[in-house]
Amino acid sequence: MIFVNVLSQIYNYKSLIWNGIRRDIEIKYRRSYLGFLWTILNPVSQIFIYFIIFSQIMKSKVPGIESEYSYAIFLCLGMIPWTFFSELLTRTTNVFIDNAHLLKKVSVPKIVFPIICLGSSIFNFLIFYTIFLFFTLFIKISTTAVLFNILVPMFFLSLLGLSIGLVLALLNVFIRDVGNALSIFLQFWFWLTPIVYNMNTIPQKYLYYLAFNPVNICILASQSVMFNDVNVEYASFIYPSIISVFFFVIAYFLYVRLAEKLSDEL
Amino acid sequence: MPVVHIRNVVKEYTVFQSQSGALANALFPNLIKNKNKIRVLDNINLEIKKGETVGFIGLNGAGKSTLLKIISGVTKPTSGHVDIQGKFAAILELGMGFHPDFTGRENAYLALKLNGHTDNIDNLINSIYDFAEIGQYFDQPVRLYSSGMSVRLAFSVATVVRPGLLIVDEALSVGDAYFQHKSFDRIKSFREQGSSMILVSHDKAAILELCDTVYLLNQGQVVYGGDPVEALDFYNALLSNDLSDIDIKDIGEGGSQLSSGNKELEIIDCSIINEHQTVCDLIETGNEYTLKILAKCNTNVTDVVCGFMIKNKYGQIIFGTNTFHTDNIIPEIITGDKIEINFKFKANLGEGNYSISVAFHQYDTHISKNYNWIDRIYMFKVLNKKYPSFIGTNFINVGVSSKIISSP
Repeated sequence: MIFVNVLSQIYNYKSLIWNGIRRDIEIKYRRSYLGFLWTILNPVSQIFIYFIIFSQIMKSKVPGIESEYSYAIFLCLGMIPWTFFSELLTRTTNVFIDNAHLLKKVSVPKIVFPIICLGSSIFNFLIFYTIFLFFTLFIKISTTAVLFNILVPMFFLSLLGLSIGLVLALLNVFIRDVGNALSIFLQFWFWLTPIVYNMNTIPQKYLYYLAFNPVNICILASQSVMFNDVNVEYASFIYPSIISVFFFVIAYFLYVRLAEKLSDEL
Repeated sequence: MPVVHIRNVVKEYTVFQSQSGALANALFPNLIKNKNKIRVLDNINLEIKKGETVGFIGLNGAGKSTLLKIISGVTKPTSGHVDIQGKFAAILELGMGFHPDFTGRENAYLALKLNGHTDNIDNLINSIYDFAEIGQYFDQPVRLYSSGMSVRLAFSVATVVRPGLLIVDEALSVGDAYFQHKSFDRIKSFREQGSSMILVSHDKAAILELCDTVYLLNQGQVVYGGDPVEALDFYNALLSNDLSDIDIKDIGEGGSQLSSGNKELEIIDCSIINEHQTVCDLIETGNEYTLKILAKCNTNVTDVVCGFMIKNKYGQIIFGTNTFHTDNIIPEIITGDKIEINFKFKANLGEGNYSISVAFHQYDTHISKNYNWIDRIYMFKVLNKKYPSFIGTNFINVGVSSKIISSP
């Protein structure tokens, strides 16, 4: 099973993948009155709360930015990509166990299931981010810049989330502790990433350690749109690239070894 | 060119104390020593030709499902080769993968895509709708379906495109009589058009009706492959015996005699005699005959029951009874003695060829203790000389009268 084969499997099953993504989205509002509205209401209320709480009640501000909404924007710029990343990672890790009933009965390339996770996580991100873009229309920030600035961080978060997720998913079939450990690990990971706090407020001696976090640079790049003087250089993506490729290779190696054995273990 | 060609297939599961052991073995199978292996399929060889219908029978745990999973590609064999030609559909389990909150139509879409269909999906969905005949339920969530409706949907989805190989695992016996009939018809027409089929069933009538060849699996091995009637007899013998207690004797003309049992009591002769006390294998409808069975006792035995069955040429049981039901249990037979049992009967049978199976066992069935059971121990032919012509295996003496009722 060479790499091209895996890609052609994904291509051949593209209509199954589309169908799976649609079902993932639809399943959340089946048997509800508001239907698709639920998919929108959740992010709307989350962003709305950020904007109200941090401008009116807590009056938090990001140093150097004038707008009263500065902290809310800062939080959204970090939180929305992080939500995408952690959702992708969590869902991919459990994807084979969740689809055990199908994997044990139908002969389908296993890779389609993580791809479906990626697709529906991207969809959820798009909804979330589009609503955020709508909010940015009312404040002093360039909506276009916010739109284009996210592309590179999203590319790396997708690659990272899918690769690490696939490694964990394959291990999780054999050792179920992986899935449980992940949710705790993600909590630490969240607080080790500058989403709620600003990188500038971190004591100098800890900055070195934070640099090991590959998600770090993606979040910083997303937030950089707020700061005119801060430009994230593309060279700083070298580290997340190396980490992504590293996990991608491990994921590929494990997939080749384990894919055909999954149905016996589930 | 066979549609399915299985050579030396072995499937082993390795049992580990710890899950990390299982993972290590899956990653580096060559490095792990001292494995505790369970062999669920042991050197399976079989071929399924184009248009052939093959049955798999065997006790629970014999390896039927694992073999089906290997043929359908869900799992890979530990060693050996599997060659499959063409596209196939598998109904491995009913209601497979149907999501309860999605409608029949939506589930059908997913199932088609899982089976790799990409073209003409809308046409296929329409023909699924037509065949399933579940009306407006097709657009209702599957959780509202009765089990019969799920079966209808599952069968319709799996057979919407004629497959090269159809795998049916215990799926035909569910559903109402009307749909069973309809699905049988579809399967038969697939077969006429050249589809091969694998049928796994405990329904003997379905096996006899549909299968050209039957493979009997026991503890992971094919212990018999061939004629369906003989395979079912063998299966029947397996219910109460170890494999080593069963043997097949060739009796010429392509037939064979299957015997089983511990031989504590051994059948030595069986024949049908007529009113003139002569042995005969040509029987006239309506005449009196006696089935005479002789057995010798090798070890003291108690509570002996003797039974017989008459089967038609398709292996279907026409009649059978035993001395438990007739209240003639023999309390004890001592080593060295012989026992003769006579069943006197009137041959109310239609024309054709029949076979007799005879058995000695303890109490009412052969499951608890089987002394000796022989299938096709005696063959006979029935001719109708005295009565008007009739069809069927059962003779009913009919009186006829007629009158014309004129219109007023």
